[in-house]
Amino acid sequence: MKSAMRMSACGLFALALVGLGACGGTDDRPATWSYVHAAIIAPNCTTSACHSELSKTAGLNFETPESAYIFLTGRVCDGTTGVEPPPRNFVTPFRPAESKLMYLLLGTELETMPPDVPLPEADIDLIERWILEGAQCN
Amino acid sequence: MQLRSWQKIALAAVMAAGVLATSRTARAYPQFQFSTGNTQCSLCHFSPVGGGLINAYGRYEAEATISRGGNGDFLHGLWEPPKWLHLGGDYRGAFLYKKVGVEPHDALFPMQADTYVNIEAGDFSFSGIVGLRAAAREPRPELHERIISREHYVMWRPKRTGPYVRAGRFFAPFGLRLPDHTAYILRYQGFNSLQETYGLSGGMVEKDWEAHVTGFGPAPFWRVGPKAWGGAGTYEHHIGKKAAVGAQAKVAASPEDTQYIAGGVGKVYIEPAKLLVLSEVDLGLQTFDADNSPSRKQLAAYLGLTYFPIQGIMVGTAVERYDEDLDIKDTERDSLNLTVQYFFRAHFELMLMGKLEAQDQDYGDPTVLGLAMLHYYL
Repeated sequence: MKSAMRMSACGLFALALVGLGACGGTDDRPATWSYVHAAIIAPNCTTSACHSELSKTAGLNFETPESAYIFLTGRVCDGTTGVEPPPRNFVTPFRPAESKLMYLLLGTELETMPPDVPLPEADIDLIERWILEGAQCN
Repeated sequence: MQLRSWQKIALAAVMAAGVLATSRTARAYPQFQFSTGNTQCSLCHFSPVGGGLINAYGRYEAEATISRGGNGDFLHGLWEPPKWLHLGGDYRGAFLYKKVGVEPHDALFPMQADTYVNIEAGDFSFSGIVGLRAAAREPRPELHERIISREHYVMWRPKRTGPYVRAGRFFAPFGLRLPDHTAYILRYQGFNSLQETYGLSGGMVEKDWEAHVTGFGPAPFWRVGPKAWGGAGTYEHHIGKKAAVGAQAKVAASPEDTQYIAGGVGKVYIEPAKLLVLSEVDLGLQTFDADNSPSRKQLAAYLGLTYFPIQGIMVGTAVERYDEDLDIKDTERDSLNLTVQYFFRAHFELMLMGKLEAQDQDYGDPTVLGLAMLHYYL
Protein backbone atom coordinates (compact mmCIF):
# COMPACT_ATOMS: atom_id res chain seq x y z
CA MET A 1 0.00 0.00 0.00
CA LYS A 2 2.72 2.44 0.98
CA SER A 3 4.79 1.75 -2.08
CA ALA A 4 1.71 2.25 -4.22
CA MET A 5 1.13 5.61 -2.59
CA ARG A 6 4.68 6.70 -3.20
CA MET A 7 4.44 5.67 -6.82
CA SER A 8 1.24 7.67 -7.21
CA ALA A 9 3.01 10.75 -5.92
CA CYS A 10 6.20 10.45 -7.92
CA GLY A 11 5.38 8.35 -10.96
CA LEU A 12 3.70 10.98 -13.11
CA PHE A 13 6.43 13.47 -12.37
CA ALA A 14 9.30 11.19 -13.26
CA LEU A 15 7.56 9.92 -16.38
CA ALA A 16 6.95 13.41 -17.66
CA LEU A 17 10.44 14.70 -16.98
CA VAL A 18 12.28 11.77 -18.42
CA GLY A 19 9.95 10.96 -21.27
CA LEU A 20 8.82 14.35 -22.44
CA GLY A 21 11.15 16.99 -21.09
CA ALA A 22 14.19 15.99 -23.03
CA CYS A 23 12.88 16.20 -26.58
CA GLY A 24 13.01 19.19 -28.88
CA GLY A 25 14.10 20.02 -32.40
CA THR A 26 15.21 22.96 -34.49
CA ASP A 27 13.45 26.29 -34.19
CA ASP A 28 11.38 26.98 -37.28
CA ARG A 29 8.90 29.25 -35.55
CA PRO A 30 7.87 32.37 -37.49
CA ALA A 31 9.62 35.61 -36.57
CA THR A 32 6.36 37.53 -36.85
CA TRP A 33 5.06 40.02 -34.33
CA SER A 34 1.75 38.19 -33.89
CA TYR A 35 3.62 35.03 -32.88
CA VAL A 36 6.32 36.78 -30.83
CA HIS A 37 3.72 38.65 -28.82
CA ALA A 38 1.38 35.72 -28.24
CA ALA A 39 4.08 33.12 -27.55
CA ILE A 40 6.74 35.14 -25.72
CA ILE A 41 5.72 38.67 -24.68
CA ALA A 42 2.23 37.92 -23.37
CA PRO A 43 2.98 34.90 -21.16
CA ASN A 44 6.26 36.26 -19.80
CA CYS A 45 5.71 40.02 -19.49
CA THR A 46 2.02 40.83 -19.16
CA THR A 47 0.95 39.04 -16.01
CA SER A 48 -1.15 41.39 -13.97
CA ALA A 49 1.60 42.59 -11.67
CA CYS A 50 3.98 43.60 -14.50
CA HIS A 51 3.43 45.18 -17.92
CA SER A 52 -0.32 44.67 -18.00
CA GLU A 53 -2.91 47.28 -18.81
CA LEU A 54 -3.63 47.53 -15.08
CA SER A 55 -0.11 47.71 -13.66
CA LYS A 56 1.86 49.33 -16.51
CA THR A 57 5.08 48.79 -14.61
CA ALA A 58 7.65 51.42 -15.70
CA GLY A 59 4.82 52.95 -17.75
CA LEU A 60 4.79 50.05 -20.22
CA ASN A 61 1.65 48.24 -21.31
CA PHE A 62 2.37 45.10 -23.34
CA GLU A 63 -1.06 43.53 -22.92
CA THR A 64 -2.24 43.65 -26.53
CA PRO A 65 -0.08 43.21 -29.66
CA GLU A 66 -0.98 46.73 -30.70
CA SER A 67 -0.03 48.43 -27.42
CA ALA A 68 3.14 46.38 -27.03
CA TYR A 69 4.22 47.25 -30.57
CA ILE A 70 3.78 50.96 -29.88
CA PHE A 71 5.73 50.86 -26.61
CA LEU A 72 8.57 48.80 -28.09
CA THR A 73 8.97 50.39 -31.50
CA GLY A 74 7.36 53.83 -31.14
CA ARG A 75 5.19 53.07 -34.17
CA VAL A 76 1.67 51.93 -34.64
CA CYS A 77 1.02 48.96 -36.84
CA ASP A 78 0.09 51.03 -39.90
CA GLY A 79 3.57 52.57 -39.83
CA THR A 80 2.64 55.91 -38.27
CA THR A 81 5.38 57.49 -36.18
CA GLY A 82 5.40 60.10 -33.46
CA VAL A 83 2.86 58.46 -31.18
CA GLU A 84 2.79 58.97 -27.42
CA PRO A 85 4.53 57.91 -25.31
CA PRO A 86 7.76 58.47 -27.23
CA PRO A 87 9.92 55.45 -28.03
CA ARG A 88 12.78 54.65 -25.68
CA ASN A 89 14.91 52.91 -28.27
CA PHE A 90 13.69 49.53 -27.14
CA VAL A 91 13.70 48.28 -30.72
CA THR A 92 15.61 49.64 -33.70
CA PRO A 93 14.42 47.74 -36.80
CA PHE A 94 17.10 45.65 -38.53
CA ARG A 95 19.60 46.46 -35.74
CA PRO A 96 19.42 44.24 -32.65
CA ALA A 97 22.79 45.61 -31.47
CA GLU A 98 21.16 49.05 -31.21
CA SER A 99 17.99 47.76 -29.56
CA LYS A 100 17.76 48.21 -25.80
CA LEU A 101 15.33 45.30 -25.64
CA MET A 102 18.08 42.85 -26.54
CA TYR A 103 20.31 44.07 -23.72
CA LEU A 104 17.43 43.77 -21.26
CA LEU A 105 16.66 40.23 -22.38
CA LEU A 106 20.29 39.15 -22.31
CA GLY A 107 20.99 40.86 -18.98
CA THR A 108 24.25 42.32 -20.23
CA GLU A 109 24.94 45.87 -19.06
CA LEU A 110 21.30 46.35 -18.00
CA GLU A 111 19.02 44.62 -15.51
CA THR A 112 17.66 41.40 -16.91
CA MET A 113 14.07 41.22 -18.07
CA PRO A 114 12.03 39.37 -16.95
CA PRO A 115 13.64 40.29 -13.62
CA ASP A 116 13.26 36.93 -11.89
CA VAL A 117 14.19 34.45 -14.56
CA PRO A 118 15.52 35.15 -18.08
CA LEU A 119 13.79 34.02 -21.23
CA PRO A 120 15.00 30.81 -22.86
CA GLU A 121 17.77 31.39 -25.35
CA ALA A 122 15.56 30.18 -28.19
CA ASP A 123 13.04 32.94 -27.44
CA ILE A 124 15.71 35.64 -27.33
CA ASP A 125 17.02 34.36 -30.66
CA LEU A 126 13.53 34.55 -32.14
CA ILE A 127 13.08 38.15 -30.99
CA GLU A 128 16.49 39.02 -32.43
CA ARG A 129 15.41 37.44 -35.72
CA TRP A 130 12.20 39.53 -35.66
CA ILE A 131 14.27 42.71 -35.21
CA LEU A 132 16.73 41.68 -37.94
CA GLU A 133 13.80 41.22 -40.32
CA GLY A 134 12.63 44.77 -39.69
CA ALA A 135 10.52 44.45 -36.53
CA GLN A 136 7.37 44.53 -38.59
CA CYS A 137 3.86 44.42 -37.19
CA ASN A 138 3.03 41.30 -39.14
CA MET B 1 -17.09 43.25 24.39
CA GLN B 2 -15.83 46.84 24.66
CA LEU B 3 -12.37 47.52 23.37
CA ARG B 4 -9.92 49.35 25.55
CA SER B 5 -8.27 52.36 23.99
CA TRP B 6 -4.89 50.64 23.51
CA GLN B 7 -6.67 47.71 21.87
CA LYS B 8 -8.41 50.11 19.48
CA ILE B 9 -5.05 51.67 18.65
CA ALA B 10 -3.52 48.24 18.08
CA LEU B 11 -6.43 47.27 15.82
CA ALA B 12 -6.12 50.51 13.85
CA ALA B 13 -2.36 50.05 13.51
CA VAL B 14 -2.76 46.55 12.14
CA MET B 15 -5.40 47.68 9.65
CA ALA B 16 -3.22 50.62 8.57
CA ALA B 17 -0.25 48.35 8.08
CA GLY B 18 -2.46 46.25 5.86
CA VAL B 19 -3.37 49.15 3.65
CA LEU B 20 0.19 50.40 3.33
CA ALA B 21 1.73 47.24 2.02
CA THR B 22 1.16 45.37 -1.22
CA SER B 23 -1.14 42.65 -2.35
CA ARG B 24 0.05 39.21 -3.38
CA THR B 25 -1.51 35.80 -3.54
CA ALA B 26 -3.07 34.39 -0.40
CA ARG B 27 -3.22 30.69 -0.95
CA ALA B 28 -2.85 28.31 1.96
CA TYR B 29 -0.13 25.79 2.61
CA PRO B 30 -1.18 22.45 1.10
CA GLN B 31 1.52 20.91 3.32
CA PHE B 32 -0.99 20.97 6.17
CA GLN B 33 -3.63 18.93 4.36
CA PHE B 34 -2.44 15.50 5.47
CA SER B 35 0.35 16.20 7.90
CA THR B 36 -2.04 17.65 10.51
CA GLY B 37 -4.38 14.68 10.25
CA ASN B 38 -6.93 16.60 8.19
CA THR B 39 -7.82 15.52 4.68
CA GLN B 40 -9.80 18.54 3.47
CA CYS B 41 -8.54 22.10 2.97
CA SER B 42 -12.05 23.40 3.68
CA LEU B 43 -11.89 22.03 7.22
CA CYS B 44 -9.72 25.01 8.16
CA HIS B 45 -10.71 27.58 5.53
CA PHE B 46 -13.98 29.30 4.66
CA SER B 47 -13.28 28.70 0.99
CA PRO B 48 -14.40 25.23 -0.16
CA VAL B 49 -11.04 24.80 -1.93
CA GLY B 50 -8.80 26.21 0.81
CA GLY B 51 -6.77 29.38 0.93
CA GLY B 52 -7.53 32.78 2.38
CA LEU B 53 -9.43 33.32 5.59
CA ILE B 54 -9.26 30.53 8.16
CA ASN B 55 -12.22 29.51 10.29
CA ALA B 56 -12.39 28.81 14.02
CA TYR B 57 -11.11 25.26 13.59
CA GLY B 58 -8.26 26.49 11.42
CA ARG B 59 -7.31 29.00 14.09
CA TYR B 60 -7.32 26.25 16.68
CA GLU B 61 -5.17 24.01 14.45
CA ALA B 62 -2.75 26.89 13.89
CA GLU B 63 -2.08 27.23 17.59
CA ALA B 64 -2.38 23.58 18.63
CA THR B 65 -0.67 21.58 15.88
CA ILE B 66 1.14 23.99 13.57
CA SER B 67 2.76 26.67 15.74
CA ARG B 68 4.88 26.60 18.87
CA GLY B 69 1.97 27.88 20.97
CA GLY B 70 0.13 31.15 21.42
CA ASN B 71 -3.47 32.16 20.85
CA GLY B 72 -4.64 31.63 17.27
CA ASP B 73 -7.91 33.53 17.63
CA PHE B 74 -8.63 36.71 15.72
CA LEU B 75 -6.59 39.54 17.27
CA HIS B 76 -5.11 36.95 19.63
CA GLY B 77 -8.45 36.72 21.38
CA LEU B 78 -8.64 40.41 22.28
CA TRP B 79 -11.95 40.89 20.51
CA GLU B 80 -14.44 38.39 19.17
CA PRO B 81 -16.54 39.52 16.19
CA PRO B 82 -20.24 38.63 16.05
CA LYS B 83 -21.05 35.10 14.85
CA TRP B 84 -21.99 36.22 11.33
CA LEU B 85 -18.79 38.19 10.76
CA HIS B 86 -15.32 36.73 10.24
CA LEU B 87 -12.25 38.88 9.76
CA GLY B 88 -8.61 38.19 9.12
CA GLY B 89 -5.64 39.08 7.03
CA ASP B 90 -2.23 38.11 5.75
CA TYR B 91 0.69 40.53 6.00
CA ARG B 92 4.15 39.70 4.73
CA GLY B 93 7.36 41.65 4.56
CA ALA B 94 10.47 40.29 2.89
CA PHE B 95 14.12 40.84 2.15
CA LEU B 96 15.13 39.54 -1.25
CA TYR B 97 18.50 38.93 -2.81
CA LYS B 98 18.79 37.84 -6.42
CA LYS B 99 21.41 37.47 -9.05
CA VAL B 100 19.99 37.42 -12.55
CA GLY B 101 22.47 38.36 -15.24
CA VAL B 102 25.52 40.38 -14.32
CA GLU B 103 24.44 42.50 -11.34
CA PRO B 104 23.08 41.22 -8.02
CA HIS B 105 20.12 43.06 -6.52
CA ASP B 106 18.57 43.19 -3.10
CA ALA B 107 15.38 44.72 -1.79
CA LEU B 108 13.42 45.08 1.41
CA PHE B 109 9.75 45.32 0.54
CA PRO B 110 6.17 44.79 1.70
CA MET B 111 5.13 41.53 0.07
CA GLN B 112 1.50 41.14 0.96
CA ALA B 113 -1.19 43.00 2.85
CA ASP B 114 -4.57 41.42 2.40
CA THR B 115 -7.46 41.99 4.74
CA TYR B 116 -10.24 39.39 4.64
CA VAL B 117 -13.90 39.56 5.43
CA ASN B 118 -16.52 36.84 5.42
CA ILE B 119 -20.17 37.57 6.15
CA GLU B 120 -22.58 34.69 6.69
CA ALA B 121 -26.35 34.80 6.25
CA GLY B 122 -27.91 31.36 6.50
CA ASP B 123 -26.71 29.15 3.67
CA PHE B 124 -25.22 32.14 1.87
CA SER B 125 -22.03 34.04 2.48
CA PHE B 126 -19.94 36.82 1.00
CA SER B 127 -16.15 36.66 1.02
CA GLY B 128 -13.83 39.46 0.03
CA ILE B 129 -10.17 40.37 0.09
CA VAL B 130 -8.90 43.93 -0.10
CA GLY B 131 -5.24 44.87 -0.45
CA LEU B 132 -2.79 46.94 -2.42
CA ARG B 133 -1.19 45.73 -5.62
CA ALA B 134 2.56 45.97 -5.91
CA ALA B 135 4.24 48.99 -7.51
CA ALA B 136 7.95 48.34 -7.41
CA ARG B 137 9.05 50.64 -10.23
CA GLU B 138 8.68 54.25 -11.27
CA PRO B 139 6.41 55.85 -12.16
CA ARG B 140 4.39 54.52 -9.24
CA PRO B 141 0.62 54.95 -9.35
CA GLU B 142 -1.19 56.88 -6.64
CA LEU B 143 -2.01 54.95 -3.49
CA HIS B 144 -5.74 54.92 -4.17
CA GLU B 145 -5.10 53.49 -7.64
CA ARG B 146 -3.33 50.52 -6.09
CA ILE B 147 -6.23 49.34 -3.98
CA ILE B 148 -7.47 46.08 -5.39
CA SER B 149 -9.74 43.23 -4.49
CA ARG B 150 -8.32 39.97 -5.75
CA GLU B 151 -11.23 37.92 -4.50
CA HIS B 152 -14.86 38.74 -3.88
CA TYR B 153 -17.63 36.24 -4.28
CA VAL B 154 -21.03 35.19 -3.08
CA MET B 155 -21.42 31.54 -2.14
CA TRP B 156 -24.25 29.15 -1.40
CA ARG B 157 -23.09 26.31 0.82
CA PRO B 158 -25.54 24.68 3.22
CA LYS B 159 -22.87 22.61 5.00
CA ARG B 160 -19.10 22.40 5.14
CA THR B 161 -19.28 19.16 3.16
CA GLY B 162 -21.57 18.54 0.21
CA PRO B 163 -22.38 20.85 -2.68
CA TYR B 164 -21.60 24.52 -3.08
CA VAL B 165 -21.92 27.19 -5.75
CA ARG B 166 -20.11 30.50 -5.83
CA ALA B 167 -19.97 33.45 -8.21
CA GLY B 168 -17.50 36.30 -8.34
CA ARG B 169 -13.75 36.70 -8.57
CA PHE B 170 -11.46 33.88 -7.49
CA PHE B 171 -8.93 31.43 -8.93
CA ALA B 172 -10.53 28.43 -10.59
CA PRO B 173 -9.51 25.42 -8.45
CA PHE B 174 -6.75 23.60 -10.32
CA GLY B 175 -4.10 21.12 -9.20
CA LEU B 176 -1.93 21.94 -6.18
CA ARG B 177 -2.85 25.33 -4.78
CA LEU B 178 0.63 26.37 -3.68
CA PRO B 179 1.25 29.63 -1.82
CA ASP B 180 4.24 30.53 -4.03
CA HIS B 181 2.75 32.19 -7.09
CA THR B 182 6.09 31.95 -8.90
CA ALA B 183 5.91 28.14 -8.97
CA TYR B 184 5.94 27.12 -12.62
CA ILE B 185 2.68 25.20 -12.37
CA LEU B 186 1.04 28.47 -11.32
CA ARG B 187 3.03 31.19 -13.02
CA TYR B 188 2.93 29.73 -16.52
CA GLN B 189 -0.55 28.26 -16.40
CA GLY B 190 -2.62 31.33 -15.65
CA PHE B 191 -2.45 31.36 -11.85
CA ASN B 192 0.14 34.04 -11.22
CA SER B 193 -0.37 36.97 -8.88
CA LEU B 194 -3.48 39.03 -9.69
CA GLN B 195 -4.64 36.60 -12.39
CA GLU B 196 -7.84 35.67 -10.59
CA THR B 197 -10.74 35.47 -13.04
CA TYR B 198 -14.44 36.16 -12.74
CA GLY B 199 -16.57 33.08 -12.87
CA LEU B 200 -19.20 30.72 -11.68
CA SER B 201 -18.00 27.64 -9.85
CA GLY B 202 -19.65 24.66 -8.27
CA GLY B 203 -18.52 21.49 -6.64
CA MET B 204 -18.77 18.81 -4.02
CA VAL B 205 -16.54 18.32 -1.00
CA GLU B 206 -16.93 14.89 0.56
CA LYS B 207 -14.96 12.91 3.11
CA ASP B 208 -13.05 10.88 0.54
CA TRP B 209 -13.15 13.06 -2.54
CA GLU B 210 -13.80 16.51 -3.88
CA ALA B 211 -14.58 17.91 -7.30
CA HIS B 212 -14.80 21.49 -8.57
CA VAL B 213 -15.91 22.86 -11.94
CA THR B 214 -15.55 26.51 -12.97
CA GLY B 215 -16.50 28.63 -15.94
CA PHE B 216 -14.59 31.91 -16.12
CA GLY B 217 -14.16 35.05 -18.15
CA PRO B 218 -12.55 38.49 -18.06
CA ALA B 219 -13.47 41.18 -15.57
CA PRO B 220 -16.82 42.72 -16.55
CA PHE B 221 -16.01 46.36 -15.81
CA TRP B 222 -12.45 46.61 -14.63
CA ARG B 223 -9.04 46.22 -16.27
CA VAL B 224 -7.91 43.48 -13.91
CA GLY B 225 -7.02 39.88 -14.58
CA PRO B 226 -6.71 37.80 -17.73
CA LYS B 227 -8.80 38.46 -20.83
CA ALA B 228 -9.45 34.77 -21.46
CA TRP B 229 -12.72 32.89 -21.42
CA GLY B 230 -12.71 29.26 -20.42
CA GLY B 231 -13.37 26.53 -17.96
CA ALA B 232 -11.50 24.36 -15.50
CA GLY B 233 -12.20 21.24 -13.51
CA THR B 234 -10.31 19.42 -10.80
CA TYR B 235 -10.94 16.17 -8.96
CA GLU B 236 -9.14 14.73 -5.95
CA HIS B 237 -9.62 11.30 -4.45
CA HIS B 238 -8.26 10.50 -1.01
CA ILE B 239 -6.56 7.17 -0.38
CA GLY B 240 -7.06 6.63 3.31
CA LYS B 241 -6.15 9.62 5.47
CA LYS B 242 -2.62 10.12 4.25
CA ALA B 243 -2.67 10.24 0.46
CA ALA B 244 -4.56 11.51 -2.52
CA VAL B 245 -4.47 11.42 -6.29
CA GLY B 246 -6.22 13.82 -8.57
CA ALA B 247 -6.67 15.12 -12.07
CA GLN B 248 -7.27 18.55 -13.49
CA ALA B 249 -7.99 20.19 -16.84
CA LYS B 250 -8.39 23.71 -18.10
CA VAL B 251 -9.19 25.50 -21.35
CA ALA B 252 -8.59 29.23 -21.74
CA ALA B 253 -9.24 31.13 -24.96
CA SER B 254 -7.93 34.68 -25.34
CA PRO B 255 -8.05 36.94 -28.43
CA GLU B 256 -4.60 35.65 -29.44
CA ASP B 257 -4.46 32.02 -28.42
CA THR B 258 -6.16 29.04 -26.82
CA GLN B 259 -4.48 26.98 -24.15
CA TYR B 260 -5.51 23.44 -23.21
CA ILE B 261 -3.99 21.93 -20.05
CA ALA B 262 -4.53 18.54 -18.47
CA GLY B 263 -2.64 16.84 -15.70
CA GLY B 264 -2.57 15.03 -12.43
CA VAL B 265 -1.52 15.47 -8.83
CA GLY B 266 -0.28 13.07 -6.19
CA LYS B 267 0.05 13.69 -2.46
CA VAL B 268 1.26 11.34 0.24
CA TYR B 269 2.25 11.84 3.86
CA ILE B 270 4.71 9.22 5.08
CA GLU B 271 3.99 9.52 8.77
CA PRO B 272 6.85 7.48 10.23
CA ALA B 273 9.32 9.66 8.37
CA LYS B 274 7.28 12.88 8.92
CA LEU B 275 7.67 13.46 5.21
CA LEU B 276 5.08 14.86 2.82
CA VAL B 277 5.33 14.46 -0.95
CA LEU B 278 3.43 16.78 -3.27
CA SER B 279 3.59 16.42 -7.03
CA GLU B 280 1.88 17.81 -10.09
CA VAL B 281 2.43 17.26 -13.79
CA ASP B 282 0.53 19.12 -16.50
CA LEU B 283 0.73 18.84 -20.26
CA GLY B 284 -0.42 21.75 -22.35
CA LEU B 285 -1.30 22.51 -25.95
CA GLN B 286 -1.31 26.12 -27.05
CA THR B 287 -2.76 27.12 -30.41
CA PHE B 288 -2.44 30.58 -31.92
CA ASP B 289 -4.99 32.52 -33.90
CA ALA B 290 -2.49 34.18 -36.25
CA ASP B 291 -1.86 32.54 -39.62
CA ASN B 292 1.20 30.32 -39.98
CA SER B 293 1.74 30.17 -36.23
CA PRO B 294 2.38 26.58 -35.21
CA SER B 295 0.80 25.21 -32.06
CA ARG B 296 3.10 24.12 -29.25
CA LYS B 297 3.08 21.41 -26.64
CA GLN B 298 4.08 22.32 -23.10
CA LEU B 299 5.07 20.70 -19.83
CA ALA B 300 4.85 22.00 -16.26
CA ALA B 301 5.94 19.78 -13.39
CA TYR B 302 6.47 20.11 -9.66
CA LEU B 303 7.81 17.71 -7.05
CA GLY B 304 8.08 18.86 -3.45
CA LEU B 305 9.20 17.16 -0.26
CA THR B 306 8.40 18.59 3.16
CA TYR B 307 9.88 17.34 6.40
CA PHE B 308 8.34 18.16 9.78
CA PRO B 309 11.16 17.61 12.33
CA ILE B 310 9.24 19.10 15.27
CA GLN B 311 6.00 21.00 15.71
CA GLY B 312 6.39 24.50 14.34
CA ILE B 313 9.09 23.79 11.79
CA MET B 314 8.79 22.78 8.13
CA VAL B 315 11.78 22.07 5.93
CA GLY B 316 10.95 21.77 2.27
CA THR B 317 12.64 21.25 -1.04
CA ALA B 318 11.14 21.26 -4.50
CA VAL B 319 12.21 20.73 -8.08
CA GLU B 320 10.31 22.17 -10.99
CA ARG B 321 10.41 22.11 -14.75
CA TYR B 322 8.60 24.17 -17.32
CA ASP B 323 9.07 23.67 -21.04
CA GLU B 324 7.15 26.18 -23.11
CA ASP B 325 7.60 24.27 -26.37
CA LEU B 326 8.48 20.59 -26.32
CA ASP B 327 9.17 20.62 -30.05
CA ILE B 328 11.91 23.24 -29.80
CA LYS B 329 15.32 22.73 -28.27
CA ASP B 330 16.45 24.90 -25.35
CA THR B 331 13.09 26.22 -24.19
CA GLU B 332 13.01 24.50 -20.80
CA ARG B 333 13.73 25.95 -17.38
CA ASP B 334 14.35 24.13 -14.12
CA SER B 335 14.36 25.23 -10.52
CA LEU B 336 15.50 23.84 -7.22
CA ASN B 337 14.52 25.45 -3.96
CA LEU B 338 15.06 24.87 -0.27
CA THR B 339 12.73 26.40 2.29
CA VAL B 340 12.74 26.54 6.08
CA GLN B 341 9.59 27.78 7.77
CA TYR B 342 9.36 28.47 11.49
CA PHE B 343 5.94 29.06 13.04
CA PHE B 344 7.31 30.34 16.31
CA ARG B 345 3.93 31.48 17.68
CA ALA B 346 0.37 31.35 16.43
CA HIS B 347 -0.07 34.20 13.88
CA PHE B 348 3.65 34.34 13.06
CA GLU B 349 5.89 32.68 10.52
CA LEU B 350 9.51 33.22 9.60
CA MET B 351 10.56 31.79 6.24
CA LEU B 352 13.98 31.46 4.64
CA MET B 353 14.17 30.36 1.04
CA GLY B 354 16.92 29.76 -1.46
CA LYS B 355 16.19 29.09 -5.11
CA LEU B 356 18.30 28.23 -8.13
CA GLU B 357 16.90 28.40 -11.63
CA ALA B 358 18.55 27.30 -14.84
CA GLN B 359 17.67 27.84 -18.48
CA ASP B 360 18.24 25.38 -21.30
CA GLN B 361 19.79 22.85 -18.87
CA ASP B 362 22.69 25.25 -18.28
CA TYR B 363 23.11 24.26 -14.65
CA GLY B 364 26.56 25.84 -14.35
CA ASP B 365 25.24 29.42 -14.33
CA PRO B 366 21.94 29.47 -12.46
CA THR B 367 19.83 32.39 -11.40
CA VAL B 368 20.13 32.78 -7.63
CA LEU B 369 17.39 33.99 -5.33
CA GLY B 370 17.38 34.27 -1.55
CA LEU B 371 14.36 35.36 0.44
CA ALA B 372 13.77 36.03 4.13
CA MET B 373 10.13 36.66 4.94
CA LEU B 374 8.18 37.51 8.07
CA HIS B 375 4.50 36.64 7.88
CA TYR B 376 1.77 37.70 10.27
CA TYR B 377 -1.83 36.62 9.94
CA LEU B 378 -4.56 38.46 11.74
